[in-house]
Amino acid sequence: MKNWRLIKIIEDCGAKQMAIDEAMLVARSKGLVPNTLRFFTWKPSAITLGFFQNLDQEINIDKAKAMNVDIVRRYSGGGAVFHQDELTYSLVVSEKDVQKNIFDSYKYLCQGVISGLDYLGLKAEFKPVNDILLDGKKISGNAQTRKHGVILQHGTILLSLDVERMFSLLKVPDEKMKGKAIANVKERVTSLKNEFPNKKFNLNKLEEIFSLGFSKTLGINLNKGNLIAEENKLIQELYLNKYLSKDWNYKQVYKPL
Amino acid sequence: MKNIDYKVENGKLLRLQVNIKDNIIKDIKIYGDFFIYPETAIFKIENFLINKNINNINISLSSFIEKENIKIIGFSSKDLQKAFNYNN
Repeated sequence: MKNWRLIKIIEDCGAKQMAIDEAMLVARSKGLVPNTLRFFTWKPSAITLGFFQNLDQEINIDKAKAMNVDIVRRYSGGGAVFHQDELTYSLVVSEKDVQKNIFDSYKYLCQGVISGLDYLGLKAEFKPVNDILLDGKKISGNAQTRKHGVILQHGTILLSLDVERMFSLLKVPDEKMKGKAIANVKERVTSLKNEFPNKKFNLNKLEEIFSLGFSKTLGINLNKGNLIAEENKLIQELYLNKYLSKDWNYKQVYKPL
Repeated sequence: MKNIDYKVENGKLLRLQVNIKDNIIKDIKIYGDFFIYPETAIFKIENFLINKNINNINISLSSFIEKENIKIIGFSSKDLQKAFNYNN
């Protein structure tokens, strides 16, 4: 059975989380670390922007500032996501250990989340390209990037969703349609607390459950580990010079020092 | 510059900022919630489109994408051509 590293929940801001993901990807590509699964939570709440999105067009920046919500552009594509009450995971895995085809690899790697939900008694299904649904409602969104022969996939496991708060931060293409957009999301998105209104969720317990989901479906051994010195050094650099920078967040531009 | 929002059928939302003169693309920025592998290929695609005719990009763009081994999820070069001719 293959040995992977498991890094337990790190609670931090969005820029730091994105820096950690990228540093792990780089370390993996240099063969410094094994394939890795990690979990994290967002403090403060944050909006992540897909690589290809226009920040001004998607986010009400003044509102986000006033509400102490961070804004950070992801390395991965996809849409803007409001991260508040959720458990997020990242996988860093060598391309040679996963299907070359992007659609197949999403399906393969998302099994871990589906299996974790199954342990909770929820029958979820994968919906191509990158969503996980419960009775047709989205509970997990996932995004992938590939660099230097390594896949980074990160995804959300939603605990609860404050749709009104989310839409006070996110712009919709047509403001007249905002009410409809809110109704739409309420209809099409669910969360663990929505599925189990009376249950108390413990993040560490959830981490254990989803770790088990990944280890079972991917046929891997997860060994608890830490970020290594090279990763920590790179995290600091990427955090300060990339993910906190206006160049990156507003203009998709990052030139390493 | 004009803004074009074009929802691709069974795909993602293309949000273009484009300067078109006599059907020729003078300047372009392609935004949206799609995926491109590798991500930085977006800049190649944008550069490729400069000075191209909006009614005649589908075939040349798709062969460029293939030649450069770029993978796009959420829209095709045909969708992009449609978007240029879409008024909203």
